[in-house]
Amino acid sequence: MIEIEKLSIAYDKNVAVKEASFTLAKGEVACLLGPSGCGKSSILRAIAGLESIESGKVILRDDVVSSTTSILPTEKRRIAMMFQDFALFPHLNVEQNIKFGLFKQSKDVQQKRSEELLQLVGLEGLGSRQIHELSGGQQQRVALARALAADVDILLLDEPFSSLDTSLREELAADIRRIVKQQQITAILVTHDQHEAFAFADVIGVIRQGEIQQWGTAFELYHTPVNLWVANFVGEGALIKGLADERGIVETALGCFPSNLENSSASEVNVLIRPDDIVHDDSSRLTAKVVEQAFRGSHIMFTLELDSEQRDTVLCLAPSHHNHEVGEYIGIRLDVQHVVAFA
Amino acid sequence: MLPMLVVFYSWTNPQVEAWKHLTETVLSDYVIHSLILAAGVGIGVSAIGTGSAWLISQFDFYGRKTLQWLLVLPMAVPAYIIAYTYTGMLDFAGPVQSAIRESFDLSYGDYWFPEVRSLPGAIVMMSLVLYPYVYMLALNAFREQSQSLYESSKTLGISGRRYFFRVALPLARPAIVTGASLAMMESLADYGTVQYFGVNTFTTGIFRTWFGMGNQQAAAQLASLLCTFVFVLILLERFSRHKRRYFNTGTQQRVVQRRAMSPKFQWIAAVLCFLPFLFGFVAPSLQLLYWSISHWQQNFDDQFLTLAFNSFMLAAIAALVVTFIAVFVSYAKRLVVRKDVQIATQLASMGYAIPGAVVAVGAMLPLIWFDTQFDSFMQNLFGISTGLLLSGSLFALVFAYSIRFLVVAVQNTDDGLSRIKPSMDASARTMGLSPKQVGIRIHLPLLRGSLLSAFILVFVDVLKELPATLIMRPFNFNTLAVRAHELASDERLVDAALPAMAIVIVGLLPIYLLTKKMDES
Repeated sequence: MIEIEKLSIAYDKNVAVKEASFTLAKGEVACLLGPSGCGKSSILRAIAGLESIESGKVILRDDVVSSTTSILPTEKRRIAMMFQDFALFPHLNVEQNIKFGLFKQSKDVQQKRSEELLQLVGLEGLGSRQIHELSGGQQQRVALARALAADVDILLLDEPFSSLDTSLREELAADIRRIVKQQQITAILVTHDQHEAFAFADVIGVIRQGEIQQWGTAFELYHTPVNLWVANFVGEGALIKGLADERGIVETALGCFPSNLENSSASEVNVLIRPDDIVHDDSSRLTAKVVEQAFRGSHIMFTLELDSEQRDTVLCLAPSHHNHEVGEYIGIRLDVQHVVAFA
Repeated sequence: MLPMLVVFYSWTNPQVEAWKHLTETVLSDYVIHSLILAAGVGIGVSAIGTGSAWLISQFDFYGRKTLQWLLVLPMAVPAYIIAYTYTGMLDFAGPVQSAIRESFDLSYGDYWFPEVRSLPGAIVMMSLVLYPYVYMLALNAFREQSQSLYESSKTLGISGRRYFFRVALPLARPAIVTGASLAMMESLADYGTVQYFGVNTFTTGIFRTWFGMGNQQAAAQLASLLCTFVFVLILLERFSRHKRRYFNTGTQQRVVQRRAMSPKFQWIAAVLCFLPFLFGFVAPSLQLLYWSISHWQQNFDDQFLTLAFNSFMLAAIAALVVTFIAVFVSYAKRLVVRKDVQIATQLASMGYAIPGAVVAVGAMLPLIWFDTQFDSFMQNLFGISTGLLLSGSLFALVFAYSIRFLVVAVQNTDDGLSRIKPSMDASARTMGLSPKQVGIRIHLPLLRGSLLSAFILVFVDVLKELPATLIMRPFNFNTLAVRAHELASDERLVDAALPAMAIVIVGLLPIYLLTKKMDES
């Protein structure tokens, strides 16, 4: 449905995107995740035809729409797009906004479609409201309805939740995902917020400085990051020192574990330990010193110092009824079969 | 506010005879011509201003950056001055018609040529110098429109002309209406152009009734009718300003990215944007310059220097007084949040919308009344005749200017004060400064810029002002504007050029301030 082939984008010789490639099947929901300025929005805008490209190809529904030689204008691509600032037309009411892109259809069709969409996004009866009378969440729903009105099968979302309250974000992200899935729409979300990405997407592309670092599911990104940068960027965690042998077994202050490193020549490695890998267990003989604690409601995130030469620190997410002061030693246990190590 | 009350109060003394005469003869002309003039100017400035603002804000083309501020320059030329220059250029003996006659070997009456000195002529003249009101507001409005509005329209299948008419224009409409109604107010207030062109409007009517018929009450009543027209425009302007607030939703707006054009269209856009500047500023300035230089030795004499000195003195005095009052008004607004003070300051700010002729009439009547009362009082008591103590002196003029231009200054002082946050006062006080020291060490330095621009704006406005000065000036006291008007009315256009050019040159000063402000924002 959407295919990006070795796409590069540059602004005045500054490379914003470097040879990005990925493919999405019909109905698949993807997310481009990365820090601000990493080029994720540029990719989305190139797919929309709002950005010219340096090299590579954008293919929509088996047609090449962007290449170095030709660019199909945005208005002819049959795509829907949602923007960070909603981009609703303030001089039109809700209904007129939804009908905006349907100018080629008859009045009856427009009316019917707008009612369908208002129902779909849960805004029945608000069609005659002015935009400024709506809350932020409602406005974003109108933006979704307007984007989907033309019955298109590709939806691009450019950080559409970032101007909303945190509590609203997840609710709206889940709602939009439900609608997108139900309508069999192929969608790409651009965000810098990994929780949003996890909640929304089937597959996630992590982007750094214009390059796709890893393309995979949320589970894969979290548990088997391909490099140190992805490991740091996605989720929380700590790196501890380790020694690897030729079979890939890594020896750390927490014990020996099989790792992803096989036939590796590296001996000194960094091992990724996620907070959920470490379980607080008072009966354990292995102990570590609490150096920091952050209360998070149901859980407490402890930063622990291991009793090793390197004074490695790890994170431990413990249920919040275990309260321990800074400086205390607590018992921990490692709950992993396999670790990820980086040379 | 006083002049308004006076002109409306004048109805308590209806001038039946005068009105009978007016309705039978020229009143319908006044009404119809004023309406056509205002409507024509409204349409003209909207078209020129919106068109050029759209091109400048949306596209990249040759000379765009320079044209962006060149387009504001025609504002420096008062309508009556541009009217003189075009009359000189385009009337029967002017260079254009002479050239046509020579090259086609025609003589008088053989060909058709539009008459400049007509109502349509007046509309064109005023549109050429008043369109910057719309241009500046529309430019701002188009720029504020978020880039994502354009992009989302594209994803919805709408671009190009359709985007302009369905999204950009409706969104900018409140700004355009605001600009157009300001220009229309100016056109209703104009006296110099319509008088020179022989078009009968309210302002010429007021003059004729005041000086010709000698009926001051009837003149005041005419003035009140004109005020009613202006009120409608004020309401229109207020309404659209109110509406404009809603027209910016979107939380994080991205600035408009100008679009590239093919070389052919770049040239077209550049030429289109150059035309208003050419006709509104270059052509009239060159004509003035040519006239001034050709008669430099005759006209640049002691008399001119006295004239210039008088004008500048008067303008400086008025500007000082007005700025001083403006500071009081702004502080009153800041310190007192009572509703009646707010309303009073709002009323005071309407003066700018009231035509100069109305202000003059409204301010003159009570002053004359006071003078006669005071004179007879002094006569009775001390046997001294004080004569026209106030109404016959510069006091009357400065009084009228204060009413008319107060809002210009207040806008600036308000703006300056709004930048001094109350927390600054508070923190200075916690550091041990007395209120007086806060004023001297914090407010004064911070306000200096606003005070200066308030002073300059009022200074130039006073220098350009014609109708009120004409009515209220002391006997034998002339300003540049009045002199230019007198000479032009005597068909001595060439001699009028020097004072006119002086006005235009000084008028460039506030334009410079304005463009600087535009660049900052």
